[in-house]
Amino acid sequence: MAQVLLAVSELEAAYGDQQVLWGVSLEVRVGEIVALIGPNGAGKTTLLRTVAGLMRPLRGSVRFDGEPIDALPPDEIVARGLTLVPEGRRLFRAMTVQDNLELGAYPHRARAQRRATLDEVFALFPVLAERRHQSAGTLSGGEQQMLAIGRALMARPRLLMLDEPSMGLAPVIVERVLDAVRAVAASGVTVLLVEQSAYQALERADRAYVVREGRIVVEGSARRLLSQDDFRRAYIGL
Amino acid sequence: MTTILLQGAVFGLLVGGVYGLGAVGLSLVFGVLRMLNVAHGELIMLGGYATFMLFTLWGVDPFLSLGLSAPALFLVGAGLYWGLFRRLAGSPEHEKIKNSILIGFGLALVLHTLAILAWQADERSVAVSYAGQVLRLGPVVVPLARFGALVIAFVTLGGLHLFLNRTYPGRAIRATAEDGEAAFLMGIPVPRVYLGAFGLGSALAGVAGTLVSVTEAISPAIGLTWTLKALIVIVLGGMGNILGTFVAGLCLGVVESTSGFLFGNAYREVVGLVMFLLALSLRPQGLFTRV
Repeated sequence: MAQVLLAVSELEAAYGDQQVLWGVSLEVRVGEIVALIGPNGAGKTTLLRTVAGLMRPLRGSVRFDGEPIDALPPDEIVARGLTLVPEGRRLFRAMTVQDNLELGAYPHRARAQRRATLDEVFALFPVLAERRHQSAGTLSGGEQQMLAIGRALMARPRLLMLDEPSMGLAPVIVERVLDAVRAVAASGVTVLLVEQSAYQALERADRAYVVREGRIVVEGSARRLLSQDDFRRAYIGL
Repeated sequence: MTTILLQGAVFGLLVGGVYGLGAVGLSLVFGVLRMLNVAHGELIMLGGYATFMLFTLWGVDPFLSLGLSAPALFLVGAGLYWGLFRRLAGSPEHEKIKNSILIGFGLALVLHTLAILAWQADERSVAVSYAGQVLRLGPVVVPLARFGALVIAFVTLGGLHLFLNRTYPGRAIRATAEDGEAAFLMGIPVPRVYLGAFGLGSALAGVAGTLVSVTEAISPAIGLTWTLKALIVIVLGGMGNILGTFVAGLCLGVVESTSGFLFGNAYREVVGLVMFLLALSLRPQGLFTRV
C-alpha cells in the first residue's frame, strides 16, 4: 500500500464555543483521490481549514508526510506541499489570470520553477492561456474554478485539497471541473476533495469518507460505497 | 486676474503633490490592513524633524536626507505596528477600524508631546540656500524647492506603483489587500506583509514630512492637520486607490489654492472640507474609483 501523505487523528475544532469537529480521523495516501462528502454544516469546510492552518485544532493532530503541521501557519504549510483551493474560489478578481497564477507560485521553491509550472497549468487548462491577460473577475464560473485550481497547482503541491469546486456551477460544468480534478490527480498530485455533488465525486474518487455532525460516520472504497443500495439511498438520494 | 488664477493653480498643484503623497501612506495601510492610523500626520511630522535635524546638525540637503528619513520612518512604523497595532490583525473588520482609530489617537497625543519635549513647540523650517530661487514660466512663478518637492512626490509614487505591480512582494501586498485569507492560502506570509505594509506607509509619511519641512514650516502640532488633509484626499480619491489618491491630492491643492485667491485665504480650508462632505454624501466610494 502507498505511503500515508496526510494523517488526521482525533481532530476537534470549534468556532468560539461552538464545537464543530468531534474526533475526526482520516488518512490520504500518495496518489489517491479521497472524497469527503456529507450534508451542509457537517464540518467538512472546518476540517479543511484546520488542516490548511487557518484554524487551530482544540485537540488532535495533523501530520503531513509524517511531520506534525497543526501548529504551523498557512504559508509554511503551503511551502511543505499542501495547498487548499478554498470554498468560493477566492480569486484576486482585480488582477489578471496570469498574475493570479504567478501569485500561486509565491513559496520560494515554487517560484524558482514558475515558468515550467505555468506551462503545465496552461497545458491542463488551455482556456487559462487564452485568457491570461483578462482580469480574473471577468471569467465565467467554470473558468474561475479552473483558475483557482491552476493557481493552487502553481505552488507545486503534493496534496491538493479542494473545497466544493462545483459550487454554483451548471451540471455540465460540474462534470468538466471534476474531470479536471481527475486530470490533476493523473498528473501525480494527491487529491482530497470535499463535494456536495456526492455521486459525481464518488465516481471519480478512490476512497471516501462521509462526515455527519462533525464525525466520520462511513468510510470505504468509493466503488464499494456506490454499489451499496442503502448507502446510495442515505447519502446520494439515488 | 487670469494670471493670478493660473499662478494659484500652479501653486496648488505644487502643494497638492505633497497632499497626495501624505495621503498615500495612510491609504496603503488602510487598504491592506483595514486599520486607520490617525497618527499618520504625526509620522509626517517626525519625518519633517528627521530632515530638520540632519540639516541643522550636519547640513545634509533635505532632498538627500530622504535616503535616511524614509528608512528611519519605516523602522518607526514597523515598531509601532509590532508594539501597538499587531494585536488587532485578527479581529473583525469593524472592530479593527474602530480600535485602530483609538490606538492612533493615543499615539498621536504621545508623539505630539514627545516632539514638544524634544524640539519645543516652535515652528521650524529648513532654510536651504535655494529657498528663494524660482523658475519663471511666462507670467507664472514656480518656487524651485516646491517644484523639487512635487518631482520627488511624483517619482516616489511612480516607484510605489511599479513596486506594487511589478515585484513579487508588491503583488503580495495587493493580493493581501484584496483577500488576506486567500493570500495566506497561496503561501504569502500575511503577518509579514502586514508589518511591511505598515512600515512602507510610514516611510511614505517620512518622505512627505521631508517635503513639508522644505516647503512649509513644521512644528509638533502639524500632525492633526496633515491627518485631516490625508483623510479628505483619501475620501476624494477612493480608499486604497493609490493613483486616485495622488490625483485627489493634486485636485485638493488646486481647489484650496484657487479658492484662496478667489474668496480670501480664510476660506481655503473650508472649500476643501466642503468638497470632503460633498464627496462623502454624493460619491462615498471616491471620485476616481470605478464601481
